[in-house]
Amino acid sequence: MTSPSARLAGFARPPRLAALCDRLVPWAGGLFVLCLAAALVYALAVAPPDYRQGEAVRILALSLPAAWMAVAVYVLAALLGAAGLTRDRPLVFAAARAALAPGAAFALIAVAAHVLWGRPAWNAWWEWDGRSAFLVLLLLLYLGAGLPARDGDSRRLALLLAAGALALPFLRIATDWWVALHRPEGVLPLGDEPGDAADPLALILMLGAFKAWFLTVWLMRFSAALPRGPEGSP
Amino acid sequence: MKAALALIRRDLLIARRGGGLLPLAVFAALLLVFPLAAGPGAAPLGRLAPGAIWAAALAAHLVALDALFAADARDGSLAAMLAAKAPAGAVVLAKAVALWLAAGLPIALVSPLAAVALGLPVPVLPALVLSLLFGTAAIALLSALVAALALGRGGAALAAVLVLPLAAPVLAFGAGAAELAARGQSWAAPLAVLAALDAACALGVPPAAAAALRAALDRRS
Amino acid sequence: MTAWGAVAAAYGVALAILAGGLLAAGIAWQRVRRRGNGFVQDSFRRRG
Repeated sequence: MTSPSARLAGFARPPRLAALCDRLVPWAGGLFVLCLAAALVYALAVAPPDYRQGEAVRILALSLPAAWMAVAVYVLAALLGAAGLTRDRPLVFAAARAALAPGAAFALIAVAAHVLWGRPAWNAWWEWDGRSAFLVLLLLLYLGAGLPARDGDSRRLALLLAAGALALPFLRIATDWWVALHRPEGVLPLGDEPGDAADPLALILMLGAFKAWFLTVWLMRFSAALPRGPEGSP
Repeated sequence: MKAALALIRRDLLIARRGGGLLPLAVFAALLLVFPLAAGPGAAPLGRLAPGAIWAAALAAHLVALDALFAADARDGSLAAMLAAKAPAGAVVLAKAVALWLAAGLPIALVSPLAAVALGLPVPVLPALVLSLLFGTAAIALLSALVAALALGRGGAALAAVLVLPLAAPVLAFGAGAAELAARGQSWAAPLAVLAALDAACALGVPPAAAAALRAALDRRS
Repeated sequence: MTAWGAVAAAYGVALAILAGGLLAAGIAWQRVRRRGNGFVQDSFRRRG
């Protein structure tokens, strides 16, 4: 589609890009360790337990930011995919692909944390509330994106990501509506979300740690996917 | 326009010759198995019936997914259709309409039988049929999109994984409409949402699926 | 399951996933840096 010389010009940059990513990784990793330490100390030791949920409220500092990151990363990958579709640049597709696995990791963390949070509260291992249903569907969207990601068909992956990202608000609304429809009266007073009990500072610290982790892993995966000369030299 | 109608007729003929009633058969089979597996006792069944009917409707589309574009892609007619003067989105739209006529419409028309068999009260029936008519249209469009995205080797697994998240809103509002009707409440709101989802899919799916088909065919060549 | 038990399990799982992800990505990344990933300009071009 584009002329060979234009393509080559685009590829003159990847080796330098790879070198840049390689240099940034230790900094991102260090940032992650610092943020994680702060978040763990605060969420586990400093923040007070909730008067209703008890110590279990600490788990919200995991499940809420993880869910936010899972959604944000999927949207990021979808945007990168859309950019790749309009400009036909393999680098942008590579960036999108590199973001998918860490995003799926966040979705896993969110589900696991949500289950373990609910256990003391519901006395059951699983309850199809709005959050659980949404997270399971998000996991399926990541799984669906993971399958063509191996195939190397970037254009269809980008279309899939776009469809999934566009579906996300509908999924949130639909799961919330569905749960509200079936909620027996009087279980939760209106306007009182269990998630509201989470300590805001704990949420922010953990979110920062997650973002730093994502940056580190994304840089590593992106850098590993970039073309290099022989012997890995940039 | 004429080309689109011709494509629809062609698909329906192929479907009738090659077992196009499979989705309907799967739908009926699932809804037969469900009460058998659950055992006697009608009351709990009625509670689950709307969800079961919608789940069966979605599952019925899964079997039709793989064949939607695969045969045409294999013998080259898909490439010819996309290269024709008509916009590629029209091809996708025609395929979706054919799928709806072969699967969604029969399912919606048969659903009253299923509803009665599962113990749903009669006031639910209009809500069920109408919501299924609207909902299966959206599911047909989404099926076309998923089939286009999953075309190729190993696509069936991808299709099965993708359909649920994309079709979940349709399922939620469709089953919700039946649920509200069963409680004697107004089911106009979810029905309106289904109509809106139909419009959104009709606008968004054809171009996206056409692009996916092009990408898939480009890779094969 | 006690509340603290659930908290410990949740944080344990999360840390395991985070650490595991870092490890997996890091190993692959180091391997590419050392040995290259066999990418000739051509094959990368066809992949896009």
